[in-house]
Amino acid sequence: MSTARVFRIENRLAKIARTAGGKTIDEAVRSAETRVASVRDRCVAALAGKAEQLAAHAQSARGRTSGTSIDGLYDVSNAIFGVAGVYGLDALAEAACSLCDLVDRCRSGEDINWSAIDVHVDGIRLLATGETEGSESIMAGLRRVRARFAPPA
Amino acid sequence: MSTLPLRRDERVNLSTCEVMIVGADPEGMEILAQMFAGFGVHTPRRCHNGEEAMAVAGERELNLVVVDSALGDMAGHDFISWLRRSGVAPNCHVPVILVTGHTKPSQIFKGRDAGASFVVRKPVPPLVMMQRIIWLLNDQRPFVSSTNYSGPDRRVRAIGPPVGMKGRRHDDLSIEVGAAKTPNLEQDEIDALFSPKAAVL
Repeated sequence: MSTARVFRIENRLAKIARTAGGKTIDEAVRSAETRVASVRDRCVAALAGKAEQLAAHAQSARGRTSGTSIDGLYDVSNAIFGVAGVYGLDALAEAACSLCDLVDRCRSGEDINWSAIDVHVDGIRLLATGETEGSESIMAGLRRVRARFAPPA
Repeated sequence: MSTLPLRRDERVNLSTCEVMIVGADPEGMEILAQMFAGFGVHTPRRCHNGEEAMAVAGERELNLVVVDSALGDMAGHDFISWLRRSGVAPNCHVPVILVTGHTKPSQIFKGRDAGASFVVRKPVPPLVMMQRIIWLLNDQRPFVSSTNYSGPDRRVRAIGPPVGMKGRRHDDLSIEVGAAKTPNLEQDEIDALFSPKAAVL
């Protein structure tokens, strides 16, 4: 068994944060919320581009069998999940998370199911363009696909 | 994690705090940068990949690092592992928050075992990020350095070493309880310990 060295370190973050001045937690959180909301349009507009990147990654990874070839697909889907979640685009966030699940299973050694991935990529492309009217039916379809190909453990 | 009761009128001064934000996604970075600017951080330093973050960690004294799980050229937990073992003091001991998107338990464990102070799941609203920062301000955990791990003590609660294992730390208690050294208390002596008594202040 290895020996562990255990020691105390100065909490410099706390030392700085507790100096005089600054903001109340309430002010800081409200200011952050305002600033995050101020870049909403720009960030949401970029989602359509990310969805197209997904399609390009799926196209280029097709035919290759190694787990690393689909890393790009996972990373972009993960990025869509992060941005969509912050701005309350719940259907898009759920679809992106579902695609991450599928791709992650492939990275863990399961066979890549391109049909399931294609359905997700198409759904995400539609949702990322701001398509909300059919979002429920898109999500119902994706949930069925996910339940079939990537059931919860 | 137990949720820290936030005193919303408590003041935090992050204006001189050196915060490094690392992530490959430009919009994800923009959101985090705006959030920290709102918290009062003067200029959050953005790095778009692991290599850039390594260079910055070698040049500037950092007070907080926020790392996305996907950095493009490496995984977020790999960067944290590098930072903890880099020997670049004091940055190797800096609080690190790992932000993950699609979050599997295995990713949480990877982040924790790489030395992250905290793993936060996306989406991260400002209130949640602030709660984690406040938690870090109160973090009393010692730092552990061993062959297999470098980072804050992963034992958030003091519950001793794993069952059946001898602890590696000087303050780990032996699993052998041993014989009692004093006689057992009588029931009335125990009761007396719980009896309310008038106190003169």
